[in-house]
Amino acid sequence: MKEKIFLIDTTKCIGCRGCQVACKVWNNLDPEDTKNWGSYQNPGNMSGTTYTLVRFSEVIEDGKLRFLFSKDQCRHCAMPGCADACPVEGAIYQWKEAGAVFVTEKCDPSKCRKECLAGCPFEVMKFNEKANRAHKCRLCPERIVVGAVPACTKTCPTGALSFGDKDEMVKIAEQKLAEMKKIYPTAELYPGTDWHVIWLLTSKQEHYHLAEQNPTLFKKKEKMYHLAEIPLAYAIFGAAFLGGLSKLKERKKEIQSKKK
Amino acid sequence: MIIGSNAAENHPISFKWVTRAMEKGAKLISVDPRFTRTSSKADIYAPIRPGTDIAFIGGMINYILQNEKYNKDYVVNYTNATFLVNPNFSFKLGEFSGFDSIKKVYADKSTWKYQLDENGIPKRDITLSDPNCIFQLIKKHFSRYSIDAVCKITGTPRDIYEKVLKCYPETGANDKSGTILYAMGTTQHTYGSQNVRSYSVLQSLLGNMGIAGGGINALRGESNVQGSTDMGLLFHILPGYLKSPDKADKTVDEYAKKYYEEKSKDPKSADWWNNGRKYLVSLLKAFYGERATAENDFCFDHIAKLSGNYSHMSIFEDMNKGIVKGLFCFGQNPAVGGPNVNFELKAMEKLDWLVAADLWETETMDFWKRPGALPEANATEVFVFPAKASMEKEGSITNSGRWMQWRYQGSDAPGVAQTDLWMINQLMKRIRALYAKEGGAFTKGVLDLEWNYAEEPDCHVIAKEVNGYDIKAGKLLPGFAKLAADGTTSSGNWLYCGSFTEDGNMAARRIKEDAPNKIGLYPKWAWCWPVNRRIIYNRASVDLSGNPLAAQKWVVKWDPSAMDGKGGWIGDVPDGPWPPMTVDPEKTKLPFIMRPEGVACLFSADLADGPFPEHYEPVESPVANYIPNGCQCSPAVYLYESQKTAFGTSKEYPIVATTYRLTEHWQAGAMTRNLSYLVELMPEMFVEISEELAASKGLKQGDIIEVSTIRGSIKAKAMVTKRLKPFNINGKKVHMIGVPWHWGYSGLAKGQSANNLTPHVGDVNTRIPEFKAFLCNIKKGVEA
Repeated sequence: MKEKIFLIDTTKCIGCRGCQVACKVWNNLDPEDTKNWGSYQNPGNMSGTTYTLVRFSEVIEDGKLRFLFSKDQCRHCAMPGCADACPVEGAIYQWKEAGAVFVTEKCDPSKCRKECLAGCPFEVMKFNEKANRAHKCRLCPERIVVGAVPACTKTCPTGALSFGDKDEMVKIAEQKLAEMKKIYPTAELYPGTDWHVIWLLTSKQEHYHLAEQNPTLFKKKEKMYHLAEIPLAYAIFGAAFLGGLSKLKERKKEIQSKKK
Repeated sequence: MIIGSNAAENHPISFKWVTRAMEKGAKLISVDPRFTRTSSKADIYAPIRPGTDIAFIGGMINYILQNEKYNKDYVVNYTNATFLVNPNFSFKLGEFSGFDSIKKVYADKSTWKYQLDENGIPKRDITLSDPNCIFQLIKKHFSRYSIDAVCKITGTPRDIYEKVLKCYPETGANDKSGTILYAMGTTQHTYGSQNVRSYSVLQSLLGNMGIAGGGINALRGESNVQGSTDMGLLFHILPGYLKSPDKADKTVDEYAKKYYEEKSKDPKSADWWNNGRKYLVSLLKAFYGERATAENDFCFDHIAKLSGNYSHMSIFEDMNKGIVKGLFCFGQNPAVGGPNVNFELKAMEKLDWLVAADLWETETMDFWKRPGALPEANATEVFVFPAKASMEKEGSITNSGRWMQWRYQGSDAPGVAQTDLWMINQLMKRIRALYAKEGGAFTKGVLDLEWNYAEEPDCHVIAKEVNGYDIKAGKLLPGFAKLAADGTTSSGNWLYCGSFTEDGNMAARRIKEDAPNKIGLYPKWAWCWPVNRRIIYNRASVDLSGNPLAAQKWVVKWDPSAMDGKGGWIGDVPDGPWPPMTVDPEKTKLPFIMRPEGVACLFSADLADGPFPEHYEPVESPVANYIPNGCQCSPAVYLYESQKTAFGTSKEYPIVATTYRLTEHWQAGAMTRNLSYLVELMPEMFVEISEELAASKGLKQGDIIEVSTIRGSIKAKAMVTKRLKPFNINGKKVHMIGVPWHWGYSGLAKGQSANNLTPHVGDVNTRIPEFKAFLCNIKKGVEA
């Protein structure tokens, strides 16, 4: 498998938040008890039960109103601060090819002081009290392992989210940026090259309220795993997912033959 | 151009295609009172005061006519621009000729008629210069819509409006297409039908009808509104848009002659509705089977005849008067969705019984125990039918592009929930059994019905019945050309004839193979009415010799070598087989086959409120009508007896309000306010308000705002936003607030209903309520 990355193309994002709901459904996450706080953005931030959310902002640029939306989520860093900070062996995995960093069942708060939360420079890592372990976007490894895209990407109606080979995604992002620069001079790619998520933004990153990178939290330490080493549980999930798909097809056939 | 629609929010899937078009270089114009998620994606965002579409489009029409930006060949050949109208036609003081100012209706439309020659064919002037030709009439009518006047009415900044004028008329070129997406922002006005008419006039002038990437596209309020309208769910139509007969129509013959037969003497007009008799008789055969015979006029006397208006508001008016005593609500929640809902709730209290079928307990089912009501004082008996959701049953959905798509059942329904089909079947079976035993009102009509469905009805049986049969042969018909008026054929809906044939269920096809023109028609994917034609009026996409106007995206073209050298159309299913004008001037037919005149109408006598769109103000408006026509509101607006004092003035209620939906909730909220993931996204009722208005009222983000109209008041959270701005209307600052209408007093997420505020008045033609523009006042409130 070639190295994969995730592209968030805000030029196509319509802020529908299908990704947010798909994530909750696929990961079986509890809804939060929210209140209207004057924005379409809700929940206000990521949490132990919210892996991803669309951030909304209204800014005036050159006297013109911009209504900006972008999905926010874990960057799946090549050198993840959370994994660096975690003292429990095997609790945070990095699957190199998929670019996925995820918390495993080995996570055990009785063995640590939740260092991973502070280790994440973007405040993405959160603690889920009910599950009693750290939670964040997993990039749906059980889907990726069978060749499917993450649940959020599958749901996106406009193609604002895509997941694919790194070279190809970077190329698309760079080409599109050049076009966008003509319309929005402040358009930029966010971030550099060491995450497994690229944002194509039509305005400055801070206008989207995406967290600033805090470079002091980065430490260089290789800690990567390959496909063969990914936890067995995800492979089983993946197989079950594939099995579910073929069952669906069988059922459709069955219904059709019944009607005949 | 997206106007009266917020496609990105309310039809997010449609935006997949808008996004793709933009990637290929399309320009997007968003015309909306609020800066929405759609506007955020647009090349041009044009703010517009609610209710001023006709001024906005009228100004475009005027600009196009004055600057000769129209598609001249198209206008001459395929519109009624060249037709001469009765010289006595006039437009004075805001009224077209023929208005009865006492009855408030256009009682005499004789002056709206075409001048006819000695053969009864409309007279035409292809030079477009006769003062009575429609081209000259329309030019004169819209000459009052100058850029200056338009901007004073709509509040659109002049520089932005000029950008729109520069951009959109470019689509008048043969190789360019312009399309309009609209929705309830267009229709929910007292002149909603005329708003739509203004779009069709604009599109016809630019030659944007019948072509690839053209048209005016209604983004329907629900996924299967198209299907339900096709099937005659509205009171004024039978399935297939056949007119509901009037109580004066005594026989099939009278009906057919009155509405359908010999409406055109022009040999070039296909006048397809001339076949109306065949479709009605086939429908009656589907309804009454063997019992419908030529001798008993195919049971024509059994079908309901109109003796008034039976639209939503009229039903509630009659309920309030105690005339309507029982109400069935299938997937409808009028206790949240109805206009002036306080009035409608009080009317519901007068019901003897109410039956409501829905997925969850709705405000309509709970109306007797709503906040402030006295349950013990309410005698209405309420029956609740738990219903299956669309994913829990098999059947068809027809989309806005008229594609009938078959869907399989995705999952089982909880508990004893049933399909609507099951409910209606059981109800009718039991009613018929009672009638057979005891008799009752209209016994013959009930017992003559063909009703042989199984206890567990099969939707395939219904789909076949809708398609229709050659009765003698017992075979499914291949298409409506085979329907007959002599009782030998049946069809539940002539437009769907061909959808389920001896070759199988066409709507269930999923073949991913494009048509030869490669414009994305996918003719073997599902099925499209009529006759699987994907773009209607497609013969308007070619010149008089049958050559496509836009070669790179042709829809149909005449191929002289087709049909063994006899010549024929290739590409999409053409709107009729007739050869092009220059190929065979004798056999040729004009492209707009559903119109008696055979062409698109810039001027239409069919509407109840005038042949041209004209700007009037909403019934509740903050300003006087600037267009000097002498009428503040449409003169033909119908005011219900109960509502005569239910309208406020700008003195007490100076702020404009408009209602709308959000991506995260659905209609009256019954389906989404009970889903915790969606409630998490949009948890509470709110009101959108500009920073300027909020500051002047001392309102901050998240404060409680109290909104009141003469009809009622609500409290909600204030959402202070840059996306709303006051309008400059002819020098006067006019503020607007935005009110989503999803919330009610039942369900997981509760909130006060926007429809406590809205007026009970509607469009002259359709009576769709004026939800989109009314007057209110606001103040800082305290938590209820």
